[in-house]
Amino acid sequence: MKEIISQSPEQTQEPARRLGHYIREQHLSCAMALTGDLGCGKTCFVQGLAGGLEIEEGYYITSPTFTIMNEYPAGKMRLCHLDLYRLSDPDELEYIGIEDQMGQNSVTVVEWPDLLIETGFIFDLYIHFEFDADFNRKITFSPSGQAGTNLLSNLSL
Amino acid sequence: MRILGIESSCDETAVAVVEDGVRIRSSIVASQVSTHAIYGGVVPELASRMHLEAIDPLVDQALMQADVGLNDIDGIAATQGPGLIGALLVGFSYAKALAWARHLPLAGVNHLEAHICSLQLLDNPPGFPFICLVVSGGHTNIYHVKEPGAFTLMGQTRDDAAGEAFDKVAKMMGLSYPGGPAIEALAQKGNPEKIKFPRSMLGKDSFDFSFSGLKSAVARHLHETPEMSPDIDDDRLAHVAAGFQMAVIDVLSTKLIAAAKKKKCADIGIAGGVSANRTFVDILSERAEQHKINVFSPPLSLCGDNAAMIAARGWEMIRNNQVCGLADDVYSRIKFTVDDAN
Repeated sequence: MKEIISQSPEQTQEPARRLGHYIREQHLSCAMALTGDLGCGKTCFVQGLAGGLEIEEGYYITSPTFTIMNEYPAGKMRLCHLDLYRLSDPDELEYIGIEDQMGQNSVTVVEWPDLLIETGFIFDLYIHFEFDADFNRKITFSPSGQAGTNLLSNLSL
Repeated sequence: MRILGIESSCDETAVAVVEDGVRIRSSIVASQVSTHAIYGGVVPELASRMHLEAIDPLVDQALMQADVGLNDIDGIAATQGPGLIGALLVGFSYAKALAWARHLPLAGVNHLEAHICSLQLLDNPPGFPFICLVVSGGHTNIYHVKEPGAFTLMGQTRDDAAGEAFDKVAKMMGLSYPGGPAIEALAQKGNPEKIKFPRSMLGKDSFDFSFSGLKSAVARHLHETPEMSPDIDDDRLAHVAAGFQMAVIDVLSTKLIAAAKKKKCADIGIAGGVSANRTFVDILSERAEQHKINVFSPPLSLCGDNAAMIAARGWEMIRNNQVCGLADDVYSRIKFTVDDAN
C-alpha cells in the first residue's frame, strides 16, 4: 500500500501520469478501481493517467457519470473510463456490454466500482481518494495480485 | 420526405417519425411511458437496459401514432455516437438491418448535432449563422452553426458537464435526483450574491468549460461550514443553491455572448436537458438582449434526448447523400481538434 497527500489537481495528476507512462511502456492490460466522495479528484486522476498513456490531446477526458463508459484510443491500447454510479443492478453491466470492453490491450478505470466488485471482479489496483482535515486529498493505492503488486512497486510516488 | 428516427445513445430509447425535417408526426421516449408506468417515476438506471426490449415495440408505436406504415418511410436515421457503445449498438444495428431489408437510406447521426437540430423543429427557429450550446448531463459543447449541417465545435467541457455539476451538487446537499430542477427550485428562495463561488473561464479567448472546480468549491463550502449541512437551515442551503446556479449561468452566458459576438451571430440557441432550466434561459435572454442577440430554446419535450431531433438531423444528411453502409460502426467519443476552434 502506498499513500500520498495532494494539495492541487496537478499533484493528483502527476502520479497518475507516471502510472500511465509505465503502463504504456510495458504494454500492461490492467484494471483499476477508483473510490471516494464526489469532488475528490477521481476524474482528475484519470486525466493524468491519460496524459501518461499519451492519448491525443484532442480527446478531452471528461466525467463518464452520464455516459457510463468513455473509450479512448491510446496507441496500441485503449483507455476505458467507466463510472457505475448510475447503475443499480449487476445485470446492467451486461447490458452496457462491459465484458466486450475490458480485457486485452485495455486499461480499464472504474469509478464507483462496487457493483462490479459484487460480481467477483478483481481489480489490479484499488485507489481510494478522501479529504483530510485540511481539505487536501489523501490518495491511497492498494494492489491486488501479482500484476497489481508489480505495477505499484514500479511506481515512484 | 418521411424519416424514421431512432435514438439509443444512453438512457433513453426513443423513436420518432418526422416529415421534411420539421413536422413531427410522432415522437416517443420509452422511459417516459413504460418505465414510468411500471415504476411510478422515471428510473434512468433501468432505462439503460431497456433498449433491446423496447426498440421494436416503440417503432411499431411510433408508426401507428404517425398513422403510417413502413412502406411510407423514405429513410432511417439513428444515433451513431457519441454515447455508450452497448446502448448505441442496439439502435444503430436495428436501424442498419431495417434500412438494408427495406432498401432505405440510413443516416448515422451525431447525437450532439441532433440536439442542435431540435431548434429547427421550433415554429420560429434561429436564423443562420447562429451559436448553439448543447448542455446536458453528459455534454457542454458550444457550436458555431454557419448553415444547415455546418457545425463547428468552438469549445466543450474539460471535466464535468454543466448538468452533471447540478446533479452532483444536489447530491452533496441532500437534494433529490435529478438535481437540476431541485436546485433551481431551492435557488428561488436564496440570494445568488450571498456566497460567491468561483467562475472558471479558462482564459478570455477559450470557449472551453470547467465545472469540476466549482463542484469542489461547493463541497469545500459544505465541508468547512458544517452548520450548513442538510436539514439545519433551509435558507442557507438556498443561498448555496442560488450561488452555485448563478456561477454556472454566469459562465455559460458570458461564453455564449462572447462566441456570438466573435462569430457575428444575431441568434443563440440552447439545446439539451439543461435548457429546461428557465432561470438560465431567462437570464441569458436578458443579457443577450443588451447585445441585440436573440435566444432560442426548445420546448420541454425536446430538451432531453428524443428521436425527433435525430430524424430532423437525419433528413438533412440523407438529402445531402451523407449515408451509412453496413460496415459503419458506432463510436464512443469525438476528438476535438484545435483547428475547429478557429
